[in-house]
Amino acid sequence: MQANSNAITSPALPRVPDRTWLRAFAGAWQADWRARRRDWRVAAVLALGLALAGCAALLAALDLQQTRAARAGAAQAESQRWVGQGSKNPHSAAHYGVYAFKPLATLAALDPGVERYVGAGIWLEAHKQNDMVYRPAADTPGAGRQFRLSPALVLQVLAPAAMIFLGFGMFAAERERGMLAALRLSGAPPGAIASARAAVLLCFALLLSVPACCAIAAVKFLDGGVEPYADAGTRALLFCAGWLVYLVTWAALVAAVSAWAPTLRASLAVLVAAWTVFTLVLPRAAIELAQAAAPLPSMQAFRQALDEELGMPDDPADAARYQRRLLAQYGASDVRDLPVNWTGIAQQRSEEHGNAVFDRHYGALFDAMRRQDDAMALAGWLSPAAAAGTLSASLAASDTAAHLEFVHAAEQQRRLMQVLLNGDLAEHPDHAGAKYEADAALWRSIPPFDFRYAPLDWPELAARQLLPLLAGCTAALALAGAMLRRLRLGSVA
Amino acid sequence: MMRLLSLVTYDLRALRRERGAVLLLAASLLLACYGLFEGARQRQHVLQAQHAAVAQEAGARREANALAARYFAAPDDPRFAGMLWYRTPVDVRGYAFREHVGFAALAPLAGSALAIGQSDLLAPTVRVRAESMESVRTAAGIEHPARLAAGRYDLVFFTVYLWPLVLLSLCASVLTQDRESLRLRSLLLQGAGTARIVFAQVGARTLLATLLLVAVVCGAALAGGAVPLDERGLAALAQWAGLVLLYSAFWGALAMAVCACAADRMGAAFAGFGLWLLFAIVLPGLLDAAVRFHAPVPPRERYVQALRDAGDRVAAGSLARFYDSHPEWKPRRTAPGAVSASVSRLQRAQELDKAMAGVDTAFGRAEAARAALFARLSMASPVTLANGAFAALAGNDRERHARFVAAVGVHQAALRDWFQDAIQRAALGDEAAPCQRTCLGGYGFRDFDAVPRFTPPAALASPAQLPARTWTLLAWLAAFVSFAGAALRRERLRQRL
Repeated sequence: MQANSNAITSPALPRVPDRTWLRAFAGAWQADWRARRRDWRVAAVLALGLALAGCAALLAALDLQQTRAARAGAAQAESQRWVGQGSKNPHSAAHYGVYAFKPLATLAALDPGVERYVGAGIWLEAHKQNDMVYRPAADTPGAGRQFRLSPALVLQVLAPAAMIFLGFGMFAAERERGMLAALRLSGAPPGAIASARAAVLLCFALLLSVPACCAIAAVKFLDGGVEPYADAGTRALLFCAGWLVYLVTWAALVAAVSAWAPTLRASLAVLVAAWTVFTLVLPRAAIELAQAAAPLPSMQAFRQALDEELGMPDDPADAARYQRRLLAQYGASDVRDLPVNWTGIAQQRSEEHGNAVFDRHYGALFDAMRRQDDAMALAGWLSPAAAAGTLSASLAASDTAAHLEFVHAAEQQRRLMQVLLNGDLAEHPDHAGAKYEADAALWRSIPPFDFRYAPLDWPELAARQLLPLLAGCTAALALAGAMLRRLRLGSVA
Repeated sequence: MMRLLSLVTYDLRALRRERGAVLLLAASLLLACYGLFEGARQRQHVLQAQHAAVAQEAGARREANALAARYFAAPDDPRFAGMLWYRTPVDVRGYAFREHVGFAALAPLAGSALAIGQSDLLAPTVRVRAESMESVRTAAGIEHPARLAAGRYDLVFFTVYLWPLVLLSLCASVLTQDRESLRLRSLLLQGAGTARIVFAQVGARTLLATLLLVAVVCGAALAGGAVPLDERGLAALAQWAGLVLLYSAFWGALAMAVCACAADRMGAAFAGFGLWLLFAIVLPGLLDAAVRFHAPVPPRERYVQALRDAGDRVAAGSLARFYDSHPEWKPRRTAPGAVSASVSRLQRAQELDKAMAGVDTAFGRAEAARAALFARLSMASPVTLANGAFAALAGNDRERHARFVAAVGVHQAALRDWFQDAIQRAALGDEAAPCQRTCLGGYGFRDFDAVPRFTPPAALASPAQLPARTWTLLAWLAAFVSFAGAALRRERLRQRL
């Protein structure tokens, strides 16, 4: 039943020690490739896999195009709305505010990560650090939260399953049919044969990534679009390398288990169990268990604590002292006689008071999320799927860290807006009871929100994502080596 | 009948002696209990947040009453000198727009720990503001986004995705082992037909394993307090157990078809895993793709823009029309253009709602179309059906949440009307007898206990019903049983020839 049970393992090779390995590799590759080309089951698995990968790629490309167009249009409309809001008091403009939209990287179409769960935009207004709103996931019908079709799902979950289907009989079939002795007699190094067969598996798995690459390349070619980070090339390369290492890990695991298993059934059972644990159970269980690392408050408790602290106005005694100092500085007896606008100064003082409160509360919340992230990253040492998933989302800037980076940048923009608006208000006292009104010149003077993700933090990336992935791959390769040695030296039964 | 019974007894005894099968069952029961634990933890979070919300609401009302008593007894007290009208509950405007604390909560059903469903994504506790439904529409709990994105590990994840793998592993050797060991002919000579062997052994293995799962989960749920030990709790567990049996029966039927066709255990394992992959991941994935293609929902960025456009359009000019419709609130001396922004604020919010009605309808229609298509297509995916049914039984499904939001919408409209009346009457009072500070007869306010509070409709608390489309699982089951029967009949005919 396994796909390559009829493969001719290796042609007779001349004994040239330094070239033996390469020639055995080439021979085994040719034999395996030929056998698989004739096998309808391989064609069926690949056809289904490619159909799914094609669907995922098409959806990813359409999503990317639609979301980018919607966000670019909305951002432009917001910018025009802000500049064209007409003459008004700067504090009214601060309350009018603007929406900021998160830029979407091309790689995020391949691995959407948390994108659908964190909201599309954030409103930047006076006095409040708002949360991102309108999460696309909230518009999804049914209870279909598991296994949403995406290129990352194809690579993380389905490609290893296809490799198991096509490779579990890599050596187990020969053992079961009593052909192991013949394999040994051929003199070809098992390592070369295993590498060749694993390479064929890898090619099939990589084939599943082709539709996504084509679709994304087409969108990129047709629509262009600026990437929200400067190191897009490095990220794309690492993204591909990460998934390649992940698939190599699975190819090595399949070879190791097939070389170890006494029967075909045992080989399939162990591989399916490993796949279930590594791709389905561990990534989810790790995320659930990470809650213990830093429990998050409920929204009600968070808001209550925040509102209670925000509700306390800035220290009135301190405000009075500041006002007295200002009056003395300008030799005035009343704030109305000041050459500056006390309202603007008071508003900025209030903003600074609020900023400190927001930093305390949101800082603690985001810190807890980061600690949970750290705890989740530990799962990468146990599951290559978790390691590859974390690395891929991190490179695509679709992980929680990237989301928090955007939220932080948006908040900095909000604070900058308040400083500039309140500063302008402070410079323009009201005249004869008429409130000061600013015009488009002030609105234009506020720099537009142009968000870019920070370049990759290599030490952190290495420690949290690359090392676990590489360690998993090395362990799988070492296991494969050990099992192949056992295959070469152990019993043929 | 006796022959069938002895066949089943012999098979189960043989299965009990297999160490692998026992270990597999033990490991899967542990995984199920862990799923239940996560569900119970989520239920606990929801309950704690709702109790805290109730306490906060009651505390705020108590403090407001106390403050009102102090303030209206001595409004000139120096302690109140720095009081800002928009930051105090004793002024109706400050209370309506800032200080009023009102929550609406969707109480978890008795069986909510059995499926997290959408309870982590769609907030079951929302703060209701008099001004608009925005705080309800955009409400979200605090969850780590990666936890939402990865999909939760709960009892549903175990039952829907992992349990079928366990059943298929347990059943893969039925008939195939007999074929492999050439024992089948002797069994047939004893009068046991292949169909009887397959149906009896797969049925018995599936039923026994499922009953074990149900017993362990129900025991753990009651012992651990995840499900209350009362009539509602027991009913929820009974419904859950029924659904698990139905879903397991579907996978048992699929196992029958596999065993009827496969030549050996390896073949059965291969085909079983392949079919699991098809039903658990591929079909739901394709279903999702079809829904996204054929029933697109406009991006929310457009909604934000429509909201902003509507906000720009809503002008104070409409206030004159408002007072024409409500002459009892019309100011005697103040022109509509001179009415304070805090007095016309609720009217502007109502105008904004009217301006957004078309957009809301368009989005609602698109979402409804998508949901209807999803419901229709979900009959083609047993896993999707089961997923939806488990969430619905636990009361953590999207439909129940939508009913909750609709009920909150009715309450919010009543709340806004109540405050509108209070503010307009206060404005008239203040116009008639202007008062420098907040005072009774003007904007002064102390009727905190009269402010409408959310009472969930009884329908939201009633036990959940299984969605009718779940019964499609029976059709799937029948199809696989028929297929198995046909395959075995064909095999028998081939052997005769």
